[in-house]
Amino acid sequence: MIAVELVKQLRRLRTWIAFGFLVGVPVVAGIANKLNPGESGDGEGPPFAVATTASGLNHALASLGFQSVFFLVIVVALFGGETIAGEANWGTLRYLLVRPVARRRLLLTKLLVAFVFATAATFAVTFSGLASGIALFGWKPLQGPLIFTTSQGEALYGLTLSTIYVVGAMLPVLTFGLMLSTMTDIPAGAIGGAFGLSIVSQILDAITGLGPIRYALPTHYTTAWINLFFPIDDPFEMVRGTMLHLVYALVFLGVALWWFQRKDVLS
Amino acid sequence: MSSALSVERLTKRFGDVVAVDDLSFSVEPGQVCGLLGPNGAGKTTTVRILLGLVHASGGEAFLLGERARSGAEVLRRTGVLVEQPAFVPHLSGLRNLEFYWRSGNEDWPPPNLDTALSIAGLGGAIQRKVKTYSQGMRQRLGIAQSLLRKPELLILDEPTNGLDPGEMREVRRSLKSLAGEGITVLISSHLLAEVEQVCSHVVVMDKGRLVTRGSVTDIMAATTGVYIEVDDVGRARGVIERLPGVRSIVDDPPGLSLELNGLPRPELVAALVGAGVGVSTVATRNRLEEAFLGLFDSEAGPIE
Repeated sequence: MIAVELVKQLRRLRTWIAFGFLVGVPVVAGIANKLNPGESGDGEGPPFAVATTASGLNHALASLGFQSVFFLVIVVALFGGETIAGEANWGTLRYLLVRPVARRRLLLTKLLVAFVFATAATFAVTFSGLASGIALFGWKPLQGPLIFTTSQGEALYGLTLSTIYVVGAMLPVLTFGLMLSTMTDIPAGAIGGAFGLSIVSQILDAITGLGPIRYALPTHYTTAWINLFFPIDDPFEMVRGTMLHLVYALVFLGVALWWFQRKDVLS
Repeated sequence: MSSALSVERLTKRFGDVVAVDDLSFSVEPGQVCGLLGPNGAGKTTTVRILLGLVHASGGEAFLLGERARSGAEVLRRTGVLVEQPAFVPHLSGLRNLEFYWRSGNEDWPPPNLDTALSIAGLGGAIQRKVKTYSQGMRQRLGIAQSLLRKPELLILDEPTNGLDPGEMREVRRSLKSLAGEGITVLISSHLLAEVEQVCSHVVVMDKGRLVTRGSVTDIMAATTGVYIEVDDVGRARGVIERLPGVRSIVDDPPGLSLELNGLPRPELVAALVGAGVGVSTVATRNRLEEAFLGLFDSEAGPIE
């Protein structure tokens, strides 16, 4: 069942287009920064974006940071929102259920496959950023103010941990998409809803007047992984972020299971 | 021996709408049963409850003696074509069959693959992506999918939808052959001629409720439709309108179609001849379509 679902997704053009964008954007951004170093944003933006042209590792971190709050979210929303609604839209959901595939098993298999693709997508961003960064800016240590990693190896280890953390940060979007996917037969609705969750959360997170409520927003800790590279006041931010992402994922998954078990399949 | 398929006091409500209302019927092993009814009668909802796709609001449904529910193991012994066939469009026909089969955690190829592919009759097109298929090709692939394992029970919703006459004949022949092997078949169809040709029994529904059930032969025998050809249609109509026991008279050139309601046919002929009307043809309209329409006309009361 898992193999079938994996192959089904791998043979879809939209999967390859999504991966193409994820891999292509860091390459294009790197080339643009190389050609126009004065307009590359060096010295501006979040810490990982400082001196993006200084080394391949800087470029990889910048790619992960920027993609994890927008384009990667769209792709993860796509993988989550298409799970059940995609089958319903094709009309194949009813045939899977009468095969029979138990609803719980079907949902969890779909989630697992979507998670595999979300993980691959996140690592694709990092790999593309790193490969294009090394090719364009060289294999040099991280550079920039306040950076405390000392060697390329240490930075590479931090980059790997950061990527794994971002995979976890995508779980709320993935599972929210899955949840919506059980509630509609229109994949675009579930995908848009999941992406919307991230956007609304990011907007609310920017409103400082909300005070501690912001700490409970699903995207509040998305970029907490930068703490691996910079001195920080709160060393437990990533732990809290991981816990929060898991809680959201479990709640959304629980609702998805509850809903799907009781759903009348009319598609 | 228990029924191959049965529903007992089955009810399904969607909000305020009652789609299936206290429905009970059964299909015995080896029967080929047609599930008939006008649009909105509740046929598809009944089929979906049997397959565990829709949860009943009340009552129970059983397949091969096991309670029908989502994911029920008995579904492995049941071939299904529900509403329209549906496939993953970017995969080939054969790959769709393979993925469908493997999703049930069973090794490919299935035991009845050759027979199923022979019924599908797609030839080399089985390797083409399904999105390039015509409606008829999808339909045939759907029937093949339902037969990947020789089922004990076959539930088919509009199995000849989208097929040309030759393909329809082939599918009917296959269904008859399967029925001859003892497989129980439930066919939901709008094509009454098809049901008449293929089915041994029918269940007729309307507005979610059972209207009647029984063997096709018995139901057709109960029909009261008569077609007559006479030398003077106008005069004949005048004579018949004065007779008691006639429910309806419809012009059906070159003759008249009548729905009798208690008037024996010999008395009808005698009355016409007695009135000087020459009668050249008297034929009983014992077609399932007549019986079906008669059932609904009789519910609405006599037609004047």
